[in-house]
Amino acid sequence: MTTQDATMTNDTAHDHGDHGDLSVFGFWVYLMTDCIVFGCLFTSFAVLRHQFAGGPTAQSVFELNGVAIETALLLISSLTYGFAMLQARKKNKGAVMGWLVITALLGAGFLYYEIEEFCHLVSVGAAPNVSAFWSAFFTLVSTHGLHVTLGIIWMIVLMIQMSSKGLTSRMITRLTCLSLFWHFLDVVWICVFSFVYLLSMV
Amino acid sequence: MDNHNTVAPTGGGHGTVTSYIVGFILSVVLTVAAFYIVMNHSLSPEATGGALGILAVIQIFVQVVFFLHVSAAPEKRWDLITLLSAAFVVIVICFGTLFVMSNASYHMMSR
Repeated sequence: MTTQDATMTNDTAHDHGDHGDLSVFGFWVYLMTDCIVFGCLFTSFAVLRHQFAGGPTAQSVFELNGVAIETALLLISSLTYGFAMLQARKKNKGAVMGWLVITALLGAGFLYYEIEEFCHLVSVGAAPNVSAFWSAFFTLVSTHGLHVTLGIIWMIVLMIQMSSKGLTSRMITRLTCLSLFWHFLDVVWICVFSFVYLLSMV
Repeated sequence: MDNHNTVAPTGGGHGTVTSYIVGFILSVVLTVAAFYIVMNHSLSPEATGGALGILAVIQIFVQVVFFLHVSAAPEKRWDLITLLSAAFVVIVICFGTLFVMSNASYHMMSR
């Protein structure tokens, strides 16, 4: 009976093609470890948040308008990725492509504003080597920015694969993993704009 | 067999258009509130800090439920358990470090 059960579960797993459930859960566990990485970076920022070493202070150089635009772009891109996933479940390949293109463009817009902000900060003397505050700031915020960059590259790769292979079940598993990654980055950004930008302006 | 197939085939949860839009609107409201209280200096510095923390925690909760689809449903149980254990580790690291470092700077009179 037990061996029969074992073969049955095995069969079901093979029916789903590539252990889709398990891949998504494995990716989720990776995201939770990434969560701890960001937790450590936020902690070091929190410890060093008053250490300006005579250099420019956060309050004097941060511009909240740019941060608000970045926040809006990332939040809207989370919604558009959600719409892409809904269309993927309906096997509507054209619509998935459309929503993914919009999501990638919004992500690229976010990166554009972030890089512009970094250039502005360095030009007014707030470079990563000036003080502990700016070292912690650039490490934390650019780690998030690198994740967004990788997310956009991943999205482009999936769009290319999807155009040649179509919306297979394996493809939907990959899209699901990227959706978790993309929404997770938006959750991290909530902490960035609340505790890094807004709290420094108080 | 039948029972097995009714469980979400691709994992990752299933939202609907409505659930995504509700999550989005709640996030917009919470974000605008956070920017508003800082830009208008409507509260004392201590109260602003507290309000920012509360708004951020609520928005994280909203996005984890509406976008990441974490729930207490049986097929989602391990997603929730790993999330809670990661959150526990982050809280220990964060508040433990802040506690130790504030004591260190107090006793060494570096502040």
